Amino acid sequence: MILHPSTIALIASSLLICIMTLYAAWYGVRIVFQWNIKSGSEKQVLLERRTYFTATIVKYFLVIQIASLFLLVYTADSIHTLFAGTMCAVGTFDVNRFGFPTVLLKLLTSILAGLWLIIDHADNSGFDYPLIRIKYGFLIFLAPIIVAENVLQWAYFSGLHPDIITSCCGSLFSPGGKGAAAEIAGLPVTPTLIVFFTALALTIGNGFLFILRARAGALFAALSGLTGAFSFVAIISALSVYIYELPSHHCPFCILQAEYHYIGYLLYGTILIGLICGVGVGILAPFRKIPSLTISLPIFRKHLAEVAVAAFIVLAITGIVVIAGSHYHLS
Amino acid sequence: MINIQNVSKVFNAGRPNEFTALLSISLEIHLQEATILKGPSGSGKTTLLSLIGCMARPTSGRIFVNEKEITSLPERFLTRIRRETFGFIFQRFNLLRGFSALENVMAPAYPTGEKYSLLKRRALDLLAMLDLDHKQGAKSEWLSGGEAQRVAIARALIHDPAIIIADEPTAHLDAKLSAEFLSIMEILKKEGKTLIIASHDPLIYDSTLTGRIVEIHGGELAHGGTIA
Repeated sequence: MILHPSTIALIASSLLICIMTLYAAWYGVRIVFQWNIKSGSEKQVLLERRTYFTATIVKYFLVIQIASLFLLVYTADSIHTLFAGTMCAVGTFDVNRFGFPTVLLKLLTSILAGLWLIIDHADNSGFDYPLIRIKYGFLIFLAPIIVAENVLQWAYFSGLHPDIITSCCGSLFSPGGKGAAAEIAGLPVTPTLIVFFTALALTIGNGFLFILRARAGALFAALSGLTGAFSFVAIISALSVYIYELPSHHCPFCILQAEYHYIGYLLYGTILIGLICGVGVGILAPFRKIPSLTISLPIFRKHLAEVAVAAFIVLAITGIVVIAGSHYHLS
Repeated sequence: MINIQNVSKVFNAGRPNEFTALLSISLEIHLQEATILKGPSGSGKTTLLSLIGCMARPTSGRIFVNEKEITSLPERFLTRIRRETFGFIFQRFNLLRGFSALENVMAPAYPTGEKYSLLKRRALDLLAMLDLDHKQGAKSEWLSGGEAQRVAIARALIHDPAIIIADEPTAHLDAKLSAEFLSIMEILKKEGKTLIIASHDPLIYDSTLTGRIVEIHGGELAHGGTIA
């Protein structure tokens, strides 16, 4: 294991998040099966008192969980010089077989954590705990995934040893290579960009429709999810060549480095915000007719849509600036 | 109507110093009446007042105010109900030291963001109603017992609450000031306020103000609540 301050911070924070999520999930089982707001029993009153405390702590831990995704990527990038053959975080993640599963699982748990925070906020806006069972049911679903991520992350960090010879991003994200990364890198640039900007335009347009007319919320959520997912693909296959100004370099991690002005953090940050907030609009749709949420939920969903649309607009502008400002041009 | 259903309050539950302050209290308190909670010290009057006024939560049981259940409400909703529905007059007045009488009256309304000039006008009107307008600038520690009591009453009325809760309001007053307090409560009752007063002072529960006396002993209702 390499004892870097960031790896220690990641291990410690993940362990705390894991313990807290497991405790909250165990408590969530009691909520799911024993919650009865009409009862004034001692058990029910105790559940009501504890849910406020538990949800508040979980909320802060899940915010840390989202931040830890970026810390993991930053850490992998900052220690890549310890491994022979690496140029960026890709090599660090490729040091052992747990690296990429860890980062992908952390991406998944970060998205799920974001959605849980949205449900929690909606639940807190109702006076009668309207989404309490759903909120804790979601947490019960989330807990084993966070545990799995914790185990993978530990396996990954404990398997990190200096001077391991690993692969460079150029070989993994090469159009001529094998595997999913190479296939994504090999997608044609122009059609990918057309799909990327069309998807963004449709999502933003649909977002405005929802904000102004409160219509097509489910479609906006679906578009946000698809556009968010495809944006990762577009960065690897198309935007990367404009950032690096090299037709053969498709690394999704080199863009996080200082020489590229850390633009990767802006791109991935906006994608994550747009995806989570956009999908959140759809996730809350089934609850809009709950009496205690009829006033607060439409306002909250509108705010979520505004944030998602703003994030996608920033993403689109960043993409345009990257292409317009690049010395690379398609022949 | 304030409907108290099977409410119990246990402090330090499960510990060696566990104490049951209230045990299975069920009670209906009518609005626009004066209800006196009567009982010796330690009988649970203050605990019951704090539960009705949303300042504490019961260990079990429910309380409904105008058919709206309040004991399960999350804290952020309770704050609003506490502010808009209840006005509190504490046994020791609990005025803020170093602040003037006027500032003490206005203080509970600051979080609402109400326009300062309107709030000040309302606070001055209340002080005038209680013959304290000449003391508006006096710091709370300079006030006499009776004046401090009246400032506390003005503060309780700043949100124009429907229900006034008073805990042993005459405990630190002499007979003359107690009579003055009762006359103010009479006026408030005539205005349609609901008064819930915890007291073991005969001046209070023998007064004409009293609509109903509820006796509490050892955390339980005596005779299921006696109508005066």
